[in-house]
Amino acid sequence: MNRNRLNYKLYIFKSVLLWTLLLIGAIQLMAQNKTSNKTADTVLLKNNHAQETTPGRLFEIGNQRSTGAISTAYGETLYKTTTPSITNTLYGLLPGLNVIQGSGEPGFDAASLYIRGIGTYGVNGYKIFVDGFEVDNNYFNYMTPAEVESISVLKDAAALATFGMEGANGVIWVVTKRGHIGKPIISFQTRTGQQSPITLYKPLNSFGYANLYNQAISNDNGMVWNPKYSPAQLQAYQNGTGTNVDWFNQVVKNNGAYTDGDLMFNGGDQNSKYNVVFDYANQQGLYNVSNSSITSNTQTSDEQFQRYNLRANLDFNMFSIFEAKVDIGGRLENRKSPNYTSNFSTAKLWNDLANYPSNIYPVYDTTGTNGANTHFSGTTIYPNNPVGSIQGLGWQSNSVRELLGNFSLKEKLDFITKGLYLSEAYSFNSYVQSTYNKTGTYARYIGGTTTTADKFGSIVASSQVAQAQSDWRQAWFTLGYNKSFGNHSIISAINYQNSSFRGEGLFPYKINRENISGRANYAYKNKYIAEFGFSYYGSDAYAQGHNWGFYPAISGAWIISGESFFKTNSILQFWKLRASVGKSGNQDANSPSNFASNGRFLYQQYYGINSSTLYLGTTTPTGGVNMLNPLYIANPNVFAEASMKYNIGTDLTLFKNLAISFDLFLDKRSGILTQDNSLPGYFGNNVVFNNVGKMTNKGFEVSASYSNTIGKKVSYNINGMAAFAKNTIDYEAEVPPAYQYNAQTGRAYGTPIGLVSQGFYQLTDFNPDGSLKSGQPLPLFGKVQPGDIKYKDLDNNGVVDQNDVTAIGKPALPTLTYAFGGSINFIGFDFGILFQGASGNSVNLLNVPGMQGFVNNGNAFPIQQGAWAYYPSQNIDTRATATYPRLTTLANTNNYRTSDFWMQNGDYLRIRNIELGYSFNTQKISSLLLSKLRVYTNLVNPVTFSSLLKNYNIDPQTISGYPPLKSFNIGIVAVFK
Amino acid sequence: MKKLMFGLMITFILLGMYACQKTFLQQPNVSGNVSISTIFSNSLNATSELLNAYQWAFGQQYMNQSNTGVCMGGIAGEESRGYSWQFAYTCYATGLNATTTSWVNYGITYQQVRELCIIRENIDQVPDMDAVTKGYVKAECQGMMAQWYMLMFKDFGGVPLVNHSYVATDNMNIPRASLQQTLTFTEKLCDSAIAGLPDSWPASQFGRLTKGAVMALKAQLLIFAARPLFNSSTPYLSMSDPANNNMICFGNTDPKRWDSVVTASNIALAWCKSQGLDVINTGGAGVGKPNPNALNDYGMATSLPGPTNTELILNYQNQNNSVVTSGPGFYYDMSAYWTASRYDNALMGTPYNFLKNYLKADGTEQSWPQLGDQAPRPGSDYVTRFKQMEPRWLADHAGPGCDAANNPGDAKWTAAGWNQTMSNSSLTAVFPQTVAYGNGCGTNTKFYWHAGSRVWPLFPIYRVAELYLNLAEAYNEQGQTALALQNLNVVHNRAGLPSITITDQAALRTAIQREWAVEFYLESKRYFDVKHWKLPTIGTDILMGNRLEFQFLVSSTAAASINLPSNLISYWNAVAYTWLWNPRMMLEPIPQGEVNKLIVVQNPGY
Repeated sequence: MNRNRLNYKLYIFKSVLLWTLLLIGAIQLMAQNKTSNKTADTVLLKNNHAQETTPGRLFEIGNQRSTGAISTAYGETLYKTTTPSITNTLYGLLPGLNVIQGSGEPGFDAASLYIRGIGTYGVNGYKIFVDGFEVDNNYFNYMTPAEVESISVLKDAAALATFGMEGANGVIWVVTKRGHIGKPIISFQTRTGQQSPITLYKPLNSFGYANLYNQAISNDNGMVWNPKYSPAQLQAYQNGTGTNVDWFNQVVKNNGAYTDGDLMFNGGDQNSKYNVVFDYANQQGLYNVSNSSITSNTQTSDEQFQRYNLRANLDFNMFSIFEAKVDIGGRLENRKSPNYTSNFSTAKLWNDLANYPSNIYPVYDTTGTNGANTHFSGTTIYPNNPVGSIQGLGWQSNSVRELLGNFSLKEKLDFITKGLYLSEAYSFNSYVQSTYNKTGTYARYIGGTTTTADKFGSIVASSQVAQAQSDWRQAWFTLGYNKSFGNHSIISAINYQNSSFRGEGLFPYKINRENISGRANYAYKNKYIAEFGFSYYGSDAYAQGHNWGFYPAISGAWIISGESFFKTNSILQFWKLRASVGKSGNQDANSPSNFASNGRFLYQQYYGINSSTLYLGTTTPTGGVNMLNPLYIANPNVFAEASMKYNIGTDLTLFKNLAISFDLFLDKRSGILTQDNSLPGYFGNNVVFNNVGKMTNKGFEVSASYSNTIGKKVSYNINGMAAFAKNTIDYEAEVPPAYQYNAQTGRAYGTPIGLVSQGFYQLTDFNPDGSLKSGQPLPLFGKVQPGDIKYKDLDNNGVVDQNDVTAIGKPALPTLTYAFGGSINFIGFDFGILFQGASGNSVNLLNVPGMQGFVNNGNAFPIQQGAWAYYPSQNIDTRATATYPRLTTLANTNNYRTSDFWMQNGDYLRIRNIELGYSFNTQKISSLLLSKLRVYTNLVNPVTFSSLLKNYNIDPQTISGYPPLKSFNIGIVAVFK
Repeated sequence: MKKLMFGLMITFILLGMYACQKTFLQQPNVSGNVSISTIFSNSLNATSELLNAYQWAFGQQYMNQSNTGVCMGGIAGEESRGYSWQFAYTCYATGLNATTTSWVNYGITYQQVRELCIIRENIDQVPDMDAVTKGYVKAECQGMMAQWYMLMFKDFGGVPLVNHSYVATDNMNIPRASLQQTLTFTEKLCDSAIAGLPDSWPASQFGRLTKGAVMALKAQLLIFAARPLFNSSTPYLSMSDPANNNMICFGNTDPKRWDSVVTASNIALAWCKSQGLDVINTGGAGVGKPNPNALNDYGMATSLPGPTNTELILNYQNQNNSVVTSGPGFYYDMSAYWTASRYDNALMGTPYNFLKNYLKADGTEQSWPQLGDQAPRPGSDYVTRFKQMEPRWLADHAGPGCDAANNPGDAKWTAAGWNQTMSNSSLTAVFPQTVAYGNGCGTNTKFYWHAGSRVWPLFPIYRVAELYLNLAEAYNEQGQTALALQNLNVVHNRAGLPSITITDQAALRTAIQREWAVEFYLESKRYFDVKHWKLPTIGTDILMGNRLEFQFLVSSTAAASINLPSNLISYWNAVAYTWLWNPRMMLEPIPQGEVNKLIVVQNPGY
C-alpha cells in the first residue's frame, strides 16, 4: 500500500520537476532570441489534418466530391488518450459513433461502439474493415494508434452502398499508415503513467453493517426488535476491537502502472515506400500484490496485459504498370491474472468484494498453531476470501497470437484505355489463443480449524494448451475506371470480394460470403455530383437459390458555393448539400435460445440430442437409448434483414475558419429475424424464426470546428459535436401483452418495462393482523409489510401483477452524445482538453452488486442507510425520510423487482483528456539530429460530472466489476531526421 | 507487355469464376447435425425421435417440464409444498394465475403434438423400416397424441384440436373446441391407436405402447368425461361469454357417460387378463379376504419393471442425473443417502390432510393428534400408531423412529441411517406452535420397494388396479352396488384390508374416492381426480386450506438422532401453512400470452 502511494507521489514529483525545468527553459528561449517558431503552425495543421480525400470502399475520393456521411479521426488524435485499447480513444471524436465505456480490467477493457445508435433489436454489430479487409473486434481493439492513419465511420447509404449484407449497422473503416516519398523519418514515442479507479463503490464498515443487519433481521421477525448484534458487539465494531476488514483496501491498490512505446520508420522513393511500426504496451492491474509476483512463481498474482505489435506496410512500383502492396502484421497479447476468473476475467472477484461484509472474518486466521499471515480465513458461506483469491490460488495466463498478411497488386491498363485499372488482393488473418497456468489451492480456516474441504496445494503448472483459433481468408478483384473530359469527371470501380472464415463451434465453424459490388461517382463542372453504388451479396446462411440480395444506393451533392453568385462572399466560403438513399442488409441474427446458430441455416430442420436418457426393456438402467429433439422449426424463407437509409447533410465553411457539418438521417429497418411469438401456441413450437421485425431509427449529427491564430505565436482551435439517435420498435412479434402500455413494441429498444412505484407502505396501510387494509391494490409478489415498495395498479383490477408494468425509464444506450474541447499553442507549449458527455439513458440500480443488501448473505452499502425502519424503542424512525425500502435478509420479490424506484438518470459529462505539452525549438534540437522533440503530460478521465457518481459513488457507465480507470501520464515524442 | 497483361487478366477472371462457383455458398460441412431429411433416412434416427416423444408424453405425468423434477404430489395435497423455488410452492403460494405458470405446460404440449404429427407424416419415408413397424409407429404417435389431449382435457377442458403439422403460412385460426368435440377427437385417436398397436413388444422394447395401454388411456379419458365437473348442466363458473360454456361443461348430466366407462374398462380388463396381467395378489386369499402379503404385493406393483410386474400395463423409465442443473428429467431420490439431489426432495413429507385417508391394518380408523388438542402426545405414541397402519402406508412411508418397511434390513433405509431430518422438529419446539413445514407426518418412500441403492423410480403410468377402481366408481354411479363392491374389494383386499360392505351410494362413493387416494398415492392422479369429483372440501382441506403437519419436540440436534425413537419427546398436530382456494382453480388457465392473441378464450376467473 505504502509503496503504491510512494510511487504515485514520485510521479507527481517527477512531473512537477519536468515542468519547472521546461518553463525555465522556455522563458530563457523567449528572452534569448526571438526566432519565429513554426511549431504552432505545424500543430495546428495536424489538428485540422488537412486531408483532401475521404476514405471509402473501392476508392478514396476528394472531399469535395464525396456524397456520403462519413466522419474521420486520425491516428495522432487517438494517441491523445493513454489506453491500450483503441476503442477507448474514440470518445467524442467521431460524430455518430456512440462509445460506451466498459470494464477497466487490463486486457478486457474494450468499449462498446454503436454507429448512429441502435437500428435493430436483432444483432446490432457494426463491421470493421482494415485496409479493405474485414477484421473482428479483437483485432481492432488492440491496434495501436501509431499504425493507424485514420479511422472513419461510414454511416449513410452512400458510404455503405457496396457493403451489401454487412452495411446495415454501419462500418468502421480503418486505413493504416503507409510510407511517404522523401527522407527516412524515424520517430519514437513513449509514455508512462499511473492508472487508478474513477470510483470504487464500497460497502459500509462492520459497525454500519451490523447496525443495519439488526434492522433487517428485525424486519423479518414481524417488526419486533430482535437484534443479531448486541450493543457490546456494536461497540466493539465502533471502537475498532471487532473484526472490521475493508476488503477493497486489502485487495485493491491505489494505482497500477501503464507504459507503452512505439518506434516507427517511414520513407521511400519512386519505386518503393515503407512504414514500419514496432509497438509495446504494458498495463498492470490494481491488485495489491508485489510487483515481483508478476514474473515469479509465487501463488500471488496481479493482473497484467502486455501487447507486442509489429506492422510493416510496403509499396512497390514496378515498370510503369504494377503497383504492389505487401502488408505484414503480427501481434502478441499476453494476459495474466490471479487464478480466480471466469473467461479469464476477474469480474467475480469484484462481486465478492462488494458482497463480503467487513465483519465476517479477519483476513488471516491466527488462532492455535496458525502463524501470522499464513492461513486465510474462510467459511462455507463466504469461502472465497478476497485476499486469498489474489494471493493463494496462483495465476493463469493466456496468450493471443495474431498474424495478418495483405497482398495486393494493381495493374494500370492505360494502354487499353486511359484511366482503366485492374487490381487483385488477398488477405489472411490467423488467430490463436493459448493458455498457461500455475495454480494452487489454500485451506480455509476459522478458529484454527478448516471450514471447507479445501486443502493447501503447492503451485502446479499446467501445460500450455490451445484455447481458441480462427482463420480468415479474403480476396478481391477490382476493375476500375477514372476519367475526366471537359466538364465531366467519373471515378468508378466494380469489385468481387469473397470471405471465408473458419472459427470454432458447430454452426459458426465456417462462414462463407461473396460480394459483387460497384460504385461510380460522376461530377459535372465539379458542382453537381451524382453517385451510384450497389452490392449483390451472397451469404451461405440461407437456402440455395435464396441466398443472394441486391442492395442499391444513389446519392448526390450540390456545391452551392461553386455557383458564380457565391464567388465573392466573405461570410460563406464553402457550402455543400448532400443527400443519399439506399438499401443495405444485415445477415447477423440472434440464435434460437437452445441453439447457437447465430441465425444461420434456419432454413434446415435440425435436430439435437436430448440430454436425458429413456430406458426401454425389462431391466434398468442398461440400454439407455438416445433421443433426438427438433431444435426449432425450419423456415425456408429466412433471409437477411433489410435497412432503407435516408440521409441529408450539409457542409459549410464560414468566416474562413469555422467548419460546420450537419446530417439528418432516417433508417427504416425491416425483416428483422425474430422469434415469431404471434403464432398461436397450438402451432406447436415457440421457436419459429421469421423476417418480420420492423424498426425505425432517426437522428442527427452536427459538428463544428473553429481554428484561428492570434498574432504569429498563438494558434487555437475550438470544436464541438453532438449526435442524437432515437429508435422505435415498430413490430417485433412480441408475446401479446394484456395492455398496450405493457408492450415493448412502439417504444425504443431496451426501454425498461416495469412497475411504477408510489412510495412505501406505511403502518397505517395494514390491519392489526398484518394484512393490507381493503381498498388498496394487492401486490401478487409475496406478502408485504410496512416499508415495502408500493406499486400503482395501472389496470385498476385490485391486484398488482405483471399486467401493471409499463415504460419506467430510458434505454441503457444514451440518445444524445456530445463533446467539446479545444487546443491552444503558444511558443512551443500546447494545451488541449476534451469534454465528452451523454444523456438520455437510465441506469438500473438493481444491476449494481450489493444493491439487494443482506439478501443471499450480502452486504450493506451507504444507500441502505436510507432504508425505511420504525423501531421507536431504539430511536429508529425513518418513516418519513426513507429513500430505500425496508431491509431484509430474505429474497424479496416485491421490492427487488424492476420498477421505476431503481431507475436512475445515467447522464454524465466527463473530461476525457487534458494534455499539456512542450515542443522544443527545432533549431535547438537539430544538433541532436532531431526534427521534433515534444514532452507532455496528460490526464485521462480526470473529472466526471454525474448525479449517479455524486449521489451514490457509482460510475455512470460501468456499474459492476473491475472499475473504469483514470490516469495520469507523462510522455515524450521524438522525431529523428 | 500487352500480352502479359491480357494473360494476367484472363488468369484472374478464371480465378474469379472459380471462386464464384456455386459450392462456395453452400452450407459448409458442419459436423454433428441431424436434419429432418436424415431423421427419416434410417430407422435408428426415426426411432430416436419417437423415443424423444415418449419421454415427453409420459414424463409430463410426473414432472413439470419447465421446472425441477418434482412430482405432482405437492399441488395435489399428497405432499408438502417443497422449497420456495419449487413448482408446487410457486404455483400456489400466490394463487394459480395466467401470467405465471400452471401445471400443464400448454406450449410444450402442442410442441409434442406437432412432433408426433411430423413423425406420423414422415415415417413412410424411412427406407429400412418394415411396413408393420411403420404401422406400429403411426399408432404409437396417435396413442401419445391421445395421451396429450387427455391431459389437456382434464386440465383445460376443450382445446384447439390439431391433427397435422402446420407450416407458418397456414391459416391457424383454430378456436377452442367444445368438450364434446375434444372428447370425440381423443376417443378417435385412441381407437385408431388400439387398432394399430401390437399386444406386446419384444423384451428389449418393453415400455412402448400396447393395445392395452391405450385401452386404459381411453377408460381414463371416459371417466373424466363422466365425473361431475364436466358431466353437468351448469359449469363450475361461467365463461365470460356463456356461449363458450360448452368448452368446460357438457351442458347436461348424462348417466350414459358412466356406461361407456364400464364398457371401456371391461374391454381393457379383458385384454389384461388375456395377456396374463392382473392385480398382484400372492396371498392366494382371493376376493373377500385380506391379502397377507399385501406390503410386498403392493410394493412390487408400484416398483418393479415389467413384465416381472404382472400388474403393470405401461410404465415410464427415465433417468436424468442432470436434473439439478437444467432440462426435463426426473430424479426422484426419496431416500437420503444419495447426495446428488436429496435436498430437492427434503420438504415433501405427507401432510396430515392426506394421512387421514389411510386406515389401520385392521380396517378401522386411526386416532391421530388433532388440531386443538389440550396437550401434546409422547413421541412413542407416534411410533406405535405408525406401525399400526395399513400395509400401503407402511410400503409408502418412513418416519422418525420408523424404518422404511419396503426395504427391510437395509441400513440406509432405517430412521437411524436416513442421514437427514425426517420430521418437523426442534429442541425448543413449544406446543402447540408450528416449528417448521415440509416433513409432514412421514417421509415418502413409494416406488422404492426393495430398491437398495437404486435412486431412480419406475413410474407406473397404467396398472390394472386403475381399471378395477374405474369399474367400482362407474358401477356405483349406475347404482349397481354389488358390482361396485366386488371391483373395489379386489383392490382393497389386495392391500391386506377386510372387505368393504357399505351399500349406501354416497358413502360408497366416499369409500371409493378414498381408495383412489391411497392406492394411487403420488401416481399423479389425485390433482385431477379431486377437482373432477368437485369435492366440497377441496378448498379447505384437500388442495388448499390449512396444511396440517406433525411437529416434534426432540432431545438432540444431530440429523440421525432426531430420527431415533429414543429422542422423540412429544409431538402434536399444527398448521404448517395455508393456501387460499379460488373457485377458478377447478381448471387451469391458458397462458395469458395465448389469450392475448385473441383466438383462444380463457377459462373463467383468470
